[in-house]
Order: sequence, then C-alpha cells, then structure tokens
Amino acid sequence: MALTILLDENIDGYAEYLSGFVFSFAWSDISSSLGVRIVNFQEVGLTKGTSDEQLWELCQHQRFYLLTDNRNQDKPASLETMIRTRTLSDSLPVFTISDIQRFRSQRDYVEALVAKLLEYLMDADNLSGVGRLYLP
Amino acid sequence: MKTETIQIVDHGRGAQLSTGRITVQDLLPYYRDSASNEEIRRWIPALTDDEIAVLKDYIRDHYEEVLQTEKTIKAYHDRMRAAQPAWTRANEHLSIEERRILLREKLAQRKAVDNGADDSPG
Repeated sequence: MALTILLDENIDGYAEYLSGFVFSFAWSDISSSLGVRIVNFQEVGLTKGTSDEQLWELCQHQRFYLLTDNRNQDKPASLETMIRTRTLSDSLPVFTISDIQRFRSQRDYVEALVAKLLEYLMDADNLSGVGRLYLP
Repeated sequence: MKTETIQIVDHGRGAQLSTGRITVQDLLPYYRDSASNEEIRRWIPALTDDEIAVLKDYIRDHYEEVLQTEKTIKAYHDRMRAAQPAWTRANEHLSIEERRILLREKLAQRKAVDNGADDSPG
C-alpha cells in the first residue's frame, strides 16, 4: 500500500527537492519498499484557497500524510486547531518541518529529516491519533 | 471580466492573502533573504507577482509586528516539539548511517514475517 505524503501549498515547490533526497541512492530501497509517494496540491486536485479544514478532511479521507511547516498561527480556523479538535484515534498525523530555512539550505538537516520521516512511516500503523509530528 | 482585489485578511489562521492560503509568515523567510519572485515561486509556485507584491508590502509596513508573530509561533512550536513523547526522539543519538541500517533491518524483519505468513499452510 502506498504511503502518500501531500505537501502543503506553502511548500508545494519542495516536492522535487524532497523527492531528490527520499528517492536518492542512499534511501531509495527503504522509501520504495515502504511505498512512499510525494505529491503536491495540483496532483491531488486541490486549488488555491483551500481552507485548513478542507485540507484536513481531505487528508483524513484520502489517507494522505500532510507535510507542512511550522508557520501556522494558533487561531480558530488554523491547521493547529484542526489537529487539536478533530484528531481521532484513527486520524493520520500531520508532519511538520521544524525549520524551513535549514531545510532549504542544509544537506545534513534534510538527511536527518528524511531519516525521521522514514522511521515514522516504517511504524505507520502506530501513528494514528498522535496529532502533529515534527521533522527532524 | 471580474478582477479580484488582492488583500491581506485574517480568516482565523493569521494574516494571509485574500486570494489563497499563503500567509504573511509563509513569505517572511524569502523576504528576509531578499529572494526574487522567481526564487519565491520555485518554492511556492501558486504565488503571482501581484500576490508577492502585496505580501512584501505588508511585511515591510508591519515588520516589527510580523517578526513578533514569528517569534510567538516559533516559541509555540518549540514547546510542542519538546513535549512530544520520548519515542519520537528514540533514534536521534544515532548517526544517519546507523539509522539507515536500523531501517533496513526492520524492513528485512518485516519481509521475513510476511514470507513466513505466505509459507504457512492454508
């Protein structure tokens, strides 16, 4: 079964960049065996202006792991509020990049992020209901 | 033809574009790096030149407030990250190579279990 990572719109352009690491020679045997797939907004039919609530519902319904960064505010319509109020025992977690600037510029940081992402996905059956998980 | 005015609004996720879900905070790292519109669009392809201009203007006009909001958000996520259960940090003391080896061992174990299940008499 595929494990689909959906990139949030604010990091949509990182799909190719992240794939370059996840499917590099060093990690490809692991990521391929796990069935990892990295997709962006357009590929799953999402459009500009999709709300956090719609995004949350789509991810849970389609069983996508949302990957976002940590620039959301803790306000009523935020993703953070969705995670806090809508997470059920079978809800998929939301992966959050802790530092987008380091992610963009530091290779060691990206390698650590990929290691952690694949460690989580290796135990995907045990991630339901945990809410937000930070990378790395 | 109807043209939509691009504004900064707050619908409950912080200051963001009226035309999409990109927030002021999303653009801040690129603004700080003086990134060109092309560079910004490499990472956030959905943004138009007009939208980038509105976001940049807002950051410039509210710079201290935007920086303060960033600090508040970062502090919140730092606290949340620190509060994550111990199992989420279980392998952080290992090198990347050690973690890769561990993952391969787990995969091999999983395959062995699956093969064992396949071989079981039905």
